[in-house]
Amino acid sequence: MTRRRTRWSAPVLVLGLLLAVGLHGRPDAASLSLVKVEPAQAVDFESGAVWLLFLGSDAHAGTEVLEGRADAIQLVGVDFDAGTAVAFGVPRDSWVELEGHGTNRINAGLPIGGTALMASAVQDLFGISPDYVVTLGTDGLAKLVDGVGGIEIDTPRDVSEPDSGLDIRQGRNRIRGAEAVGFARARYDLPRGDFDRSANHQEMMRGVVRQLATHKDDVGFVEAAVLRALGVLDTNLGATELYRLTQAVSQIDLTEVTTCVLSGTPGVVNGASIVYVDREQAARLGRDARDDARLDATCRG
Amino acid sequence: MVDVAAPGAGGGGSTLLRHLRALVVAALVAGSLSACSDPEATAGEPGPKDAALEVRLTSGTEGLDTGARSQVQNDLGDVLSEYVVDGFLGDYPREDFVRSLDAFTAGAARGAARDIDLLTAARFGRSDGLRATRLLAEISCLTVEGDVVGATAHVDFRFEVADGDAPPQPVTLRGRFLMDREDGTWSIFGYDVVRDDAERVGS
Repeated sequence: MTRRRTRWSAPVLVLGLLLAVGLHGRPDAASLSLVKVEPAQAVDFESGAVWLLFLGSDAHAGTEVLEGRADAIQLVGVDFDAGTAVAFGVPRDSWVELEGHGTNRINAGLPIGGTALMASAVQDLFGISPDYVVTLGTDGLAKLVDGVGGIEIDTPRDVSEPDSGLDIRQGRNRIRGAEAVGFARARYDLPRGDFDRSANHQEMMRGVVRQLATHKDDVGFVEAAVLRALGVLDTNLGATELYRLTQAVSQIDLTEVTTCVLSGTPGVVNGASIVYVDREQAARLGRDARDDARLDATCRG
Repeated sequence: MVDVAAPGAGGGGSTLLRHLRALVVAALVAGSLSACSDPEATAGEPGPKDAALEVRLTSGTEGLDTGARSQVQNDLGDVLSEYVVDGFLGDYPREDFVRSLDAFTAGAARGAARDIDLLTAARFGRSDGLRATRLLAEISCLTVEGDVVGATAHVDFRFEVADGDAPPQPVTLRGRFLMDREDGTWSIFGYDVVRDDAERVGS
């Protein structure tokens, strides 16, 4: 990823002009200087679009994250060269074929077949094979969010989750680790239930990126965050890859990030609530963003 | 600290650059992190002396012994010294600023080539030369199981451009250089910097 902008420092510009014009009303070359501020940034992670599957496991503290169900499923594409990123949220109750295990809710794929089965199920929907899979449990989420000093999230409505003490108002809120777990879980007060919850997961990811971007210049901040992440994540990313990825993510421009939650129709199978996910939409999104991590069309087409 | 000696005009181009890098590396390997000097480096090159590169380990190495810390400090200082010498110092006029990208990984070098005007003194290639007035790198390390696998150098590099009779023009480069180690060799895999050049306006 490489970006370059040029901006002139306005106060310096004004001061310089005032000094230049001085009392004589004409420029004085000897006393005038302008400060041209030019930022440049790039990170060598991987060229082209990179796809990461983020899974939020409902495994509780003391159990392996891969033993829990995947209640948060986000397929994230990033092209660090182009500075673009997309996130596709998959409702946890999506009724899908789990390769070799019949039809089931997609979130059951994690305890049944681990991250490989989850990656396969997501690939079947979007036609995109994730390069990396990152799984996080609720305890790890709390530690990760606390480790970066909390995150700021924007919510279109008030959200409460009594178990975690979460009680936030519409708009921008700063939340800590326990509240982040509550925000990730909350769905009963949301008008679109699990679809809105998936959108909340995307907002939390934005919050993490925002926090990294805000503090990336603090000495030791990124390293501490990566160390914390290494302690709580289950991933096929090595330490060096995670470090590069985190540094690259800290440079993401959130205005270039597009998010979308798969649509679907609620249903009931064997007395259990499921979602018949819109497979055409998933395939279209995958075709659209596969190569450049950018949506040319809209989420709904 | 490590001296990054400033050659003046009339030196032997690439030979002198190699000499300078060798001097910097030698000082680092010797563990001489206090300011030092080598008369040969500036022999016949009168002019104000450059500031020494100061490399400070600020976080992430608390669990390492003194030898390991010195090794990391030397290795990272080596990479940064090579970059500073090739990117800003040396004999002027010069055009070989791209040499400084040797310190970058291949992927980062592609971006850096596009940003070469900001990451080096390429825009001052026809000037009389640059002098380093402050070279500070504060290093935070990522240490996993006793092994330093990544590091951020928070840098404050300041120079002055000499060009004829004009007053020295200050040039600063601040921000972060991101480094990791592949096959035992440290290199720069990313950067996030801001370049401030105070430009003279008028004739």
